[in-house]
Order: sequence, then structure tokens, then C-alpha cells
Amino acid sequence: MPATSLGEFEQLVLLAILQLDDDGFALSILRELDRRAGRRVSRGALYKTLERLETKGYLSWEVEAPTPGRGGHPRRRFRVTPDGVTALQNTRDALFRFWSGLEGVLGEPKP
Amino acid sequence: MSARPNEPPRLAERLLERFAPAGVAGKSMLGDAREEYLAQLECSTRFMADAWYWKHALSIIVRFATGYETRSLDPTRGRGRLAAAVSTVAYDTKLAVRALRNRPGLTLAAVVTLGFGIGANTMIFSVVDAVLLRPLPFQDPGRLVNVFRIDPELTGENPDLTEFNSFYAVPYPVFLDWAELSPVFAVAGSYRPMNFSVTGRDRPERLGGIEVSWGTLAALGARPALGRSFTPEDDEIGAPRVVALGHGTWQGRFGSDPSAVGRSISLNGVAHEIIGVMPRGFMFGGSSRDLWVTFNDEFKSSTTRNAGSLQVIARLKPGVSMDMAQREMDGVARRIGEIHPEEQQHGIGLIGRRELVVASSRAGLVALFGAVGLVLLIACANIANLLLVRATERHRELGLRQALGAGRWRLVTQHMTESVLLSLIGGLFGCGLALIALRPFISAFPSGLPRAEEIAIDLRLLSFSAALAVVTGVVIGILPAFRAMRTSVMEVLQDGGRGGVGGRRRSRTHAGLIVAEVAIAFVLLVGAGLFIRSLQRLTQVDPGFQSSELVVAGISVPTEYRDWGDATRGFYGDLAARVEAIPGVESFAFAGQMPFVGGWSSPPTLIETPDETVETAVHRTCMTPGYLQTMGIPLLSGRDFSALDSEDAPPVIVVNRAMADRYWTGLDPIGRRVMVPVPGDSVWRTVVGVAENTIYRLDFEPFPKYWVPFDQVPFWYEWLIVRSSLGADALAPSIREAVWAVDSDIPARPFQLDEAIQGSGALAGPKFAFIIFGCLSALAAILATIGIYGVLSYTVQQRSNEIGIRMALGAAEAAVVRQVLRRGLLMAGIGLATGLAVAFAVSRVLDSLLFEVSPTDPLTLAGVAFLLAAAAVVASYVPARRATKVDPVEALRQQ
Repeated sequence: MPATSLGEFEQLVLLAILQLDDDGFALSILRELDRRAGRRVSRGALYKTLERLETKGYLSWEVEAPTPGRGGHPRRRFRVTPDGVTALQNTRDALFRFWSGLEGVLGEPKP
Repeated sequence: MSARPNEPPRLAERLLERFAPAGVAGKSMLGDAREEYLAQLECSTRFMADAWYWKHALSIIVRFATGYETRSLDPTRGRGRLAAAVSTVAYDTKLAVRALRNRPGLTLAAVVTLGFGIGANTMIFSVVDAVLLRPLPFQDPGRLVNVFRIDPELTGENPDLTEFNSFYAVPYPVFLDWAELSPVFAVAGSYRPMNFSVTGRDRPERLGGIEVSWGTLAALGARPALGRSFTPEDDEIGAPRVVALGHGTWQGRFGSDPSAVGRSISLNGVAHEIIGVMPRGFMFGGSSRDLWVTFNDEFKSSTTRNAGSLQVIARLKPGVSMDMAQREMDGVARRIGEIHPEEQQHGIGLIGRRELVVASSRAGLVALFGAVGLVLLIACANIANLLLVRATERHRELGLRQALGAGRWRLVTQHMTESVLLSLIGGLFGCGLALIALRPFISAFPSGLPRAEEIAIDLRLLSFSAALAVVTGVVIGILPAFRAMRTSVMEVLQDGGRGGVGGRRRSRTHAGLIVAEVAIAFVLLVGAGLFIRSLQRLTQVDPGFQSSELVVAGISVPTEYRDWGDATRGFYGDLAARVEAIPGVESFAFAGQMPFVGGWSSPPTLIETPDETVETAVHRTCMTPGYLQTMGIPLLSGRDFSALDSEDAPPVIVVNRAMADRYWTGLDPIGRRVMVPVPGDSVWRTVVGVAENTIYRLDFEPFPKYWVPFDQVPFWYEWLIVRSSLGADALAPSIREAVWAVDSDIPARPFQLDEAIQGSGALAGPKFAFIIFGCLSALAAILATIGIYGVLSYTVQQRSNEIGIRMALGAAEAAVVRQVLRRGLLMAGIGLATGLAVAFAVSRVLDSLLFEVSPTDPLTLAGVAFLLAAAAVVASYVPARRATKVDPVEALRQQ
């Protein structure tokens, strides 16, 4: 896997899906982003990012049977692929190397 | 909103379906959107939920349909050409917004300047559009024509039918012949404006109506909103009198009661049956017309063919051209001449209805539109100069970006985007201004602006200003953009940001723009100057009488007194006695015509001259003995009328000087004779006096006219003229009392004659033109002055090093000042010379709007040139003084 770095928003989306575990539907991802990161993003921005992550091979999805109230349209459940997990790890490691030793300047992270 | 229960807005969903990605991905987006839409519906209103849906659908469409990327600033990463173009524009817009935000001062100045320019253009265009460009609000208006009778002796062979001339008026029998013989008219109607006293309620009311033959409404293609239209039967002699009410009259007098149709209304004391109500907002001849009334039997039975009062309107048959119609009507005129030999000399003239309506205001509006266009041009030149300066400041940035691989065209489009964005914001601001200012502006327009009621700000107008804003943006952006394109990396690196070849070329461009500004400002100022001179001339016109302290009121005799004999005379005698008793009345009289206000009648007339008897048409009106004295019109020779000139006395007249000069040149007119060859009138009347000329309008030459004694030719509509120092307000109640004491059904509204003259069309037009041109040209002059100042300041700043070095080498302050001043005055001088040439070429447009002033009036040209030159000196002096403040040490240190 090439060492493609992840953008900040891409990281948030991937992490949100991991946090959601089996509930990785688009609407849940939006709610999770809002709840954990305070990010309110438009549908268009989210779908576009999901599409891009899928193209990069970090995401896959499966079709769920439509629930009532969706006008018969299917639902997609997103999952992070092993490549996606690796990319997250790489990004985290790189960031950690930069973060470490700066506690004196930046203070301890807040939970 | 959508009528489907719990369903998202249909259009938004369709769009989403169309633009979302294909396959399951897109379908699932639709499903997500629906799901959340339902959730929104539960916690808010339908409207809010719909708005939510739209917002999110659009966010998806924008991302997926245009290739617009969330994170990328690289415009080439989109998919497909269109997508690339859209994202380029989006990207450039983003940069432009940033650039404009970084320079709030420049942005504000540009937006305000352009806003005023575009706003003024939008406003004037709304007027030009409604008055000149749009079709008349009638069915198939291109086929409507007005038809006039032409008497080559009185009006010339090819008269200008758009100029008002009572000689064109058509007698009723002639109109009937035309309607019957014409092979080209689908339908024709005749009409004349007529005021009616409406009685039967507490106070009599005077309404402005129009008398029509049945074909008038039919020709216009108009139908009453309620009831029936006129039919040919209504025009038959002996037919019941009928009236169609204007919409306003119906609302005002009948409270919009539909049962008014069929009821009776008393007009001038005669009962008329109401047959219909005209549609709301229906206008004809610039007025909504309170009443549409058929002609009375007496008028319809008249056989006189040599005195007309009607206008004729006709609808051409489909496919008939104006030329064809004119040829056919020439044939009709010949046939009428064969049947009625006395009409052989008469021709028939056709003019398109629209041409007739708008011709009088065309010149003014075109001049006005030209003027605001020029102001916008000056504004453009100023902003272009500002942007040029800015482009120069960004010289290095641009060179650097080129070095890093930015294409030249990319730099150009980016500049253009910035200037177009700037002028779009200005345009938005301008539209707001136009919206606020339009109504006050229209109401300030002198009366007589045709079709004013059709003026409105609508989509068409907004498209115009949007287009104007884009064009403006391109105009102001084009120079800086090409400057940017010409920027070469080498030049930037060598030039060090000032001087050099590019520097000289730059300053020439700046100077060129300033020259253009000065030239345009000159032309506009000349326009304003000419209108001032016109106005000055008009106010100096001597009307031929002493208009101050005259109070006048129009009096219409009720029907029961209209026997043109004892009853009419008795009515006025009674009224005269009561007016005489009013305290403060110094003198008073009655007359059939009032200069500046109304009354206009020119019957065919035979005049005895030493050689022959001339047949022509001359203005005639009646007056009571005190008229000349009350009006203050000097009697030049002979005598005024007296009480002795009664019905039974020998018929006499008083002529004005113009008539005496025209028909009895160099002779004594006293004792000469005149006759109106109309049944009941055809007696020779002898001239007993000559009075000084009076004029009918300030811009009319005095024309021949004569007076007959009221007792010998009484008329049923007269002006009461009172000379008193008390004024109309103080006298009005007693005058009204006097009138109502004679007959309580007569409306009377006395007013001061002076005020009517001040408000008359002759003065109002030039006054308005002067105010508008004055404001526009002042704006232009200020902009041009700012332009000169700006460019010189910039030059001084650019050259501060050079100036500093020269001063360090011993140059005197005066020499530096002279150098800067010379440059400013040179630009102004070339601008003035150009402006002079342009003014000579275009001022002819104003000719028809001016009164006794040549469009190339030397005094105006010289005055304006002086004014602008003075402004240029002031604008140049400030930067010149600043140049001397350059500190040589500082300048050398920077070097």
C-alpha cells in the first residue's frame, strides 16, 4: 500500500465508522461526527469523502434491505478495510512522533 | 409546497435522482435523504423540512454533478470539461472574494461607484423600456394607427404628425366617410377628450372623460370588464345616451357595485345609461379616463365638413402595411374630393399609434439614457484605473505565479472574475438603489411622460442590470487583465517593480483613461449648461400679459342654459353680478380661452385682405369687455369691446398683432372684415381694435387670433378671470359661493394662473432635464476630478525616488510642482479638446429639447471648459504639493 496520507476529515470519517462498529450507515456517521468532533458537515461533503476513501481502498460497503420510510431505497453499511486500518495506524504513528515531547508547550491532551 | 403527504419536494428529489451517482450508491443517498426528511417532519414544520431537503440535495448535487472537490483547490481535478470549467469558475471566485476582502477600501469605493452607475442606468432603462421599447398594452398594437386630416395650406405637404396641431382634427362626417370608404381599416373609431359635470350627489364633480364613436374600443381591442361594449347601434341618431365607467369611477362613485351597470348617471345634466365598466388599469392616451361616452345627437347630425374636433384611431386589417394603408387612404381622399369639391385640397395622414405616443418623449429619453450611460463609462474608467494600480502592485506576485507555471490565460480569467464579481456586487447595490428611487423619480417626471403607469422593476429589468453589470465588469477588468497577461517573468525580475518600459506604458494607459473621463464629463456638463440657458431664456419670455395676481376658474354652463342665447347670457350675467360683489376683486372678465391653461378652437375663416379674400383657419375665442384690462394685455389701436357690443349691435372683433401683421401687413386693420362660413355664424365681423400678442405656451410663437364679444358669440365653457391681490386660496371660497349661488350643480376650482404657468409643460420639461443633467454631470465632473487626482497621486508616489533625487541635486520646489501640474493640465487639456469635438458632434441630439439656445452655444462651451480646467488645477495641485514634501534622504535610502 502506498504511503498515502489521510486528510483530517478522512481520518475522522474512518474513525467514526470504526467507533460505530456495526452501525456504519451514512446518517449514523453524520451524527457521530457531530457528537464526537462537533463537526456538522453537509451530505454532499460526506458522500464525496466516502466515495474517495472507497476509491483509495480504505472503505467497503454492503447493501442492507431498505427500512420503512426510505421509499424503497437500499441502505449502505460502511466498513473500514484492513488497508484503511493500516492507513489510520500509519497516520497515527506519524502524528505521535510529532506530538511526543511537546507536552511542555501544548499541555496534556484533554479526554 | 409539495402536495404529497410526507414526501420530500418532488423537484428536489428528481434533481437528486438525476445528479447523484448511478447504482446503489446513488439510491442509498436518496434513501438516506428520505429517512431524515421524515425525521425532520416530526420535529419541525413542513416548510422547514422541505428547506432542509433542498439544502442537502443541493449539497450533493453540487459535489457530484460539477466535480467540485471538498478539499482540493486544484481546479483541474474535476471530471470532464464542463466540470473543469465550473470548478475553475468556483475556484477563481473563491480567490476573487479573498482578494476583494483583503482590500476593503478599494472594494467599497468600487462597489459604491459602480452601484450608482448601474443603478442610474437601470432606472433610466426601466423608463426607456416601458415608454419606447415595449409594445403598447393593446391587443396586436402594431396594427393601430391614428388618422389625421391634412390641409397642405395650413400644415404643409408632409407635416410632422407627431407635433400637436389642432388643424389635423377631423370633422364627424369626414370620419364617417373614412370608416365607410377605407378598404384597409378593420375597424375605426373617433374620439375627443371631454370633461363632464357629474351631478346627483351632494357636490357636483368634474370628471375627465372621452367622447367616442363605437369603433374606438373595438379598434383598441378592449372590452369592458363588466357589462357590454359600444355597438354601432349606439351611434345611431336618436339612440339612448350610454356611458362606460372607468374602473376608478366605478369604485369611487358606485363602491364597486356590479349592479351599477344598467343604472343611470347624470352627465352635464343629461341622463346616461351605464352599459359597462372598463378593466382596472385600462388607459388610453396616457389617462385612465373616468367616463367613456357616446356623442350626442346634435354632434352626430352635424354636416359641417370644415371644422373638426376629433381624433381618429383605426385598426388595420391583418397583413396591411403602413405604406399600403397610406396609398389606399390617398385614394379615399381623392374619392371624397370628387364627392365634396370643397375637400379637394385635403389629404389623409396615417401614423402608427406607438410612434404618435412616444415621439414627443423620445429625444428626451434618448438623451437621458445617453447621459447615464456616459456617467457609467466615467465610473468604469475610474475603477479601471484603480484596478490597474492594483494590478501593478501585484506585478511581482503575477510574475512569480507565471514562473511557477500558471498559464497566462489563467491569470486573465482570474482578473476578469475579480472585476466581474466586483461589478455584480455593485449591480446588486445599484438595483437596490433603483428600487428605492424609481417611484420618486417617476413622480418627479414632468407630466406628459407617456405610459408612465407601465414602468416597473421586473425580471426583464433585472436581467438588463445583470447583463450591464457583467459587461461593466469586463470593461473595467480588461485592461488590468491584459496587463497581467503581458507580465513577463524577466521584466518583473529586472524592473524591481517600478519605472522601466512597462512603467511608461502604464502611465500612458492611465492618462488615456483620464482624457476619456474629462472628455465625457465635458459633454455632460455642456448638456447641463445648455438646459440652464434654455430655462433662463424660457423664464424671460414675456407672455404678453401680466400673469401675477390673476385667479382663474373654468366654468361649464349646465345644459338648461345652453341655448347660445338669452339663457346662456343670463347665466353669465347673474354670475358676473355676484363675482363683482366679492370683496378684493379689482376687475374680472370671462373668456373662452385661457393662455397656458386651456381652450383651443380654430374654425375655418374668411379674411378680407386688400387683394383677395383668404380662406384659412384662425384661432377665435370670445371675451367680455373687461378682459384685456383684467389680463393686462395692452390695446395697440382702436377700441376694446364695451357693453354696447350686444347681440343686436353690428358684429365686431378685436385682433391680435400677429393677425394684423400677417393679413394686413403695413395697413390699418381697423375696419377690415372677417367671417366664419359656418351656418348660423356666417356674418362679416369688423375689426375695431388691435391687442398685443399673447402666447399660448412659453415655447410657442404667438399666432394670429381674434376675439369676438361674448354677447355676440356666447360659448358654454368659459374661463372666469379675476384680478386680485388676495390670491387663489383666499378667493376660492367666495368664488365657489358665487358660482353655486347661480347653480349648485356647477363645479368650480379657482387657481393662481402664475402657478399653472410655472407648472406648465414648457417649463417643467427643461427644469426636469436641467435637474437630471445637472446631477449627472456634477457626478461626472466629480468622478473625473477624482480620477485626475488619483492618477497624479499615484504617479507622484511611483516617482518619489526620482523626485527625491532631483531635489537632492538641487531642483527647486517650484520646478517639481510645475512638472506635476503640467502633466495634470496636459491630460485635462487633451480631454477638453476631445470633449469639445464630441460635444459638437452629439449635441444636435439636444436640439429639439432646447429653447432659443444653440447646441453649440459658445458661452456654455467656454464656461464648462473653464469649470473643468479649474477642477483639474485643484486636482493636480494637491499631489504636486505632496511631491515637494518628498524627503531626498528617505528617497536615496530606499534606492
